[in-house]
Amino acid sequence: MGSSSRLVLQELGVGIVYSSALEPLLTMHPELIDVLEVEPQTTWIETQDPSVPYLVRPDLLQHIAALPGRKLVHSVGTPVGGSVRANAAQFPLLRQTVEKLDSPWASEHLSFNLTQDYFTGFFLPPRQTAAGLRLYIEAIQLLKKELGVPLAVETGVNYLRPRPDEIPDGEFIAAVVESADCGILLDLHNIYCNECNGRQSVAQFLSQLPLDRVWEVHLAGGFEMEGFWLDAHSGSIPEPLQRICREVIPALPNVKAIIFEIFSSFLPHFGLDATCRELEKIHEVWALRSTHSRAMPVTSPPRIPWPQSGVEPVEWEQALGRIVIGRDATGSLEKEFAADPGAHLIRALVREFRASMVVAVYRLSCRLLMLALGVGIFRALLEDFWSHTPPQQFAGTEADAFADYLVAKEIRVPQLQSILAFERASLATLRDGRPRIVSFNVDPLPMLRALADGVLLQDPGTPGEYEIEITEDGPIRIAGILPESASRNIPFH
Amino acid sequence: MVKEMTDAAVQRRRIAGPVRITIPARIAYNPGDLKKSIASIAEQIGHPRCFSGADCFFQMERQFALDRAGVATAVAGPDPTPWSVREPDPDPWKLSVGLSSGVKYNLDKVLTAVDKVIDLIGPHPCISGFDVLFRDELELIVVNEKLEAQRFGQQF
Repeated sequence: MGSSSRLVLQELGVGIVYSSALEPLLTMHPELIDVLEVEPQTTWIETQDPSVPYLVRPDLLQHIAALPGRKLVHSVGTPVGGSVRANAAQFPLLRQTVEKLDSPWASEHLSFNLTQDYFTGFFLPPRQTAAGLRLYIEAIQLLKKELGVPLAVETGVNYLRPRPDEIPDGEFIAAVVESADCGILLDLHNIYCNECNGRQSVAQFLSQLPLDRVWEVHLAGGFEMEGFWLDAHSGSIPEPLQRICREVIPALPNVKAIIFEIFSSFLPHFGLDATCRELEKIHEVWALRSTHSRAMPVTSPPRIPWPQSGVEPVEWEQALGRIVIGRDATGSLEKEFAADPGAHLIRALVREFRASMVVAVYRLSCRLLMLALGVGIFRALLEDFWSHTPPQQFAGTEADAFADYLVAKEIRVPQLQSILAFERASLATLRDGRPRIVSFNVDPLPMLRALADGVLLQDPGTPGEYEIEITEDGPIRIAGILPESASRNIPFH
Repeated sequence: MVKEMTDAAVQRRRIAGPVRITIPARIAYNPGDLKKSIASIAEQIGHPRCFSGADCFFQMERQFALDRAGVATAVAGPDPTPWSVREPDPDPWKLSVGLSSGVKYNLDKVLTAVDKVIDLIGPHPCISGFDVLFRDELELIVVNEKLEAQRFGQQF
């Protein structure tokens, strides 16, 4: 593979980050989407089996490959801005995905999400020093080698205050990509967030970048929370950012794709029609691009001497990690982070993430708890769980840890343990395909239906011996009662 | 009607053993969700997306669970602040339980209070309908910091 700065990559066009909820858009408006960006790990299932830690459903990969448009792989599980390496079992699966989807390049985050002891539950900013630089270059080179395609690193959001002992953001990115000889995924909304939140301005940041290395651009919307502009992927691209795009895109001689990011949780509110309008705006910006790929001379300003710092990347990661997962500050660096409003914000965001993962995976059990005990008590349970257990990388694993916690607490909410056992069995069968049977001492169907509808059952239900057998596949069967007796209550669409 | 049918089902069970409902996992997981493709399930339990904002899913689910009509669209727009959360009407529940603040912030005391209230209303192995709603304000039962349950001003 030659120097990345001299690569001539294929032009892909305008696209969007794939989620299953967007599939109707692909059918209705294929003209708006030239490329789908796929985050492979979001479709993997963590197994807890060290010999096969991740399960990739081949039918799902096949399904995504068959969707219209080109595909780009955007990894979210092997970030290259930390000292602790991701599980190497991800590499062959990522490479398989790159090959299956024929992705002309891949991208990853110049952030970290893992310390020596736990996942942080959030992409966190790297240590921007010469020592950090050396580590991240190694990580990028390893990932490039494992994936077998050119690699671009994403410019990240950083909610922390700027520090005098770190290399300025743009200059740091420039040093990383030039030393590692890779591309840049320029996330303009991240950079816009950084400017809004008191870090470098977009103009200053871009003035320090080798713009000829920008292969791809990310755009998104956000909103304000606790005085910060969040990279929330919640909807419309802010108007000031649209103006910036119109100036910046023509100055990127090698940009090959612009991707719109919308987080699936916000789609029900933002809507597919509004998503189409954002894509139309991006097409207008795309039309402004330079049509001649070239290696632009890098016009970096003279570099100031890099600051010397005694804080090593490992120390940085452990201290920041501890604060954002909610541990008390002990050392001096932890106390510095504890005094940083940005770290407080991240801690709150990590908690919302964790809560969302749990309720998304064990939805009925969580609804039962919220309805029976109230949201305040449910939240207190979550807080207690978080104080004992660090975040997990995969939602299923995070939710399983919470389920273990609930079982250990022996909470006497009627039928909680049965509902939880039912949901756990369903998830386990989805993972391994083995059938399971869950017993109930009342008719479970009205209860399940009520919770599926978001209400608490008022009738205790008919006592008796009931079993739900969960199978890998096949038809719904009912034995022991007339099927039509159950059909009125059956909540399984 | 449903009850009569269910009674018939119980009769049948006595002859044929337990009632057995067999469901494929993809269908069993997330009852009531019409969009349960393998892709959507994998997204639910897989790695979170590239994202550095506030995940509104918990707030949406909280809203949904608190909305007796089951209308999730009541959540305010794409901007999740401020969240509009309507407390449920207590009418469908027979009892409401208020916890004094000293109890509310001590999880062990909260769980002990849950046990006490369940004992109070008469635990039954077959109970399914949970007819107690824990609320922050006083209603019919209150549990004080000594974990004494009181109802209508009378000590139990």
